[in-house]
Amino acid sequence: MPFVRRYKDLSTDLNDLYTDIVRELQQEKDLEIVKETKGVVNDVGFRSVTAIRANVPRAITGTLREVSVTVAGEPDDWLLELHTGAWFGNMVLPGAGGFLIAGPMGTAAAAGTTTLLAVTYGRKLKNRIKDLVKKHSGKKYTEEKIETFIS
Amino acid sequence: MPYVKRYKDLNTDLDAVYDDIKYEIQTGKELNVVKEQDGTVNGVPFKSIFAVRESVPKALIGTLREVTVTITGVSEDWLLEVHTGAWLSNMITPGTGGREVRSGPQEPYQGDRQEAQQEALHR
Repeated sequence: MPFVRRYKDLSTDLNDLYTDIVRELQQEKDLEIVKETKGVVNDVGFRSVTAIRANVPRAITGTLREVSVTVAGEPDDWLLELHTGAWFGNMVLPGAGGFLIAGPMGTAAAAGTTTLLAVTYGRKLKNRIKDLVKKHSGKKYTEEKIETFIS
Repeated sequence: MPYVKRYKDLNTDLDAVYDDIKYEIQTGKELNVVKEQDGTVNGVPFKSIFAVRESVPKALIGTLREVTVTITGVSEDWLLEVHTGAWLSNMITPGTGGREVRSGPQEPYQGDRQEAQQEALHR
């Protein structure tokens, strides 16, 4: 479920934004940060963090498996990529199997469970990042400064 | 790019398959195994391995970022899931951006590396 946004003319403090995103991931108890990558790619600043599920889930289908957030660019022209991966995310359809569906995948995305779903977490993180972009930008945040790419 | 296959009536040694997949991942020089999970979910065995890219890539678009392989089930009925994540993979289409795309972190396209990894895992 990759989601990419391009932000222009916001004068964003990308280091502070990235630090707050990492903090956000650290606050989720089911996630464990396994890798941070910082550097320069083709002369442009680049920061990326990957967090994975810390424990074996109680159900699989649709459960959050990993999160990756990348910030690349310069204060007035940068990209954000947010990826949230789910186990067997393409098998959420009811009746898509036999024995195994009743096994690890059966109780999957049941409403009301405490399962951390990728889709729910992704939505929450996306909204939180929007707040953080506003917080760390020196110029006014407006929709026309943002371009979204969804595959 | 999730990929799931269900295997039936093969009497597969799932531990051996998992070990060989792990070896396959470990031999990819850019990857580092960061987590393995082994347990049961609703009474069915479950194994999962996570690997992430070790270094800062020379280019972003399509470059392999992480790999996850999961095996769940029993010898005669099991599922394999392979996930390979790539940076900015939905921006491979030419002309989807401006300055950043041309001179920034996304050029050149390095999808072959991710595809090669996936091909190795699908063998």
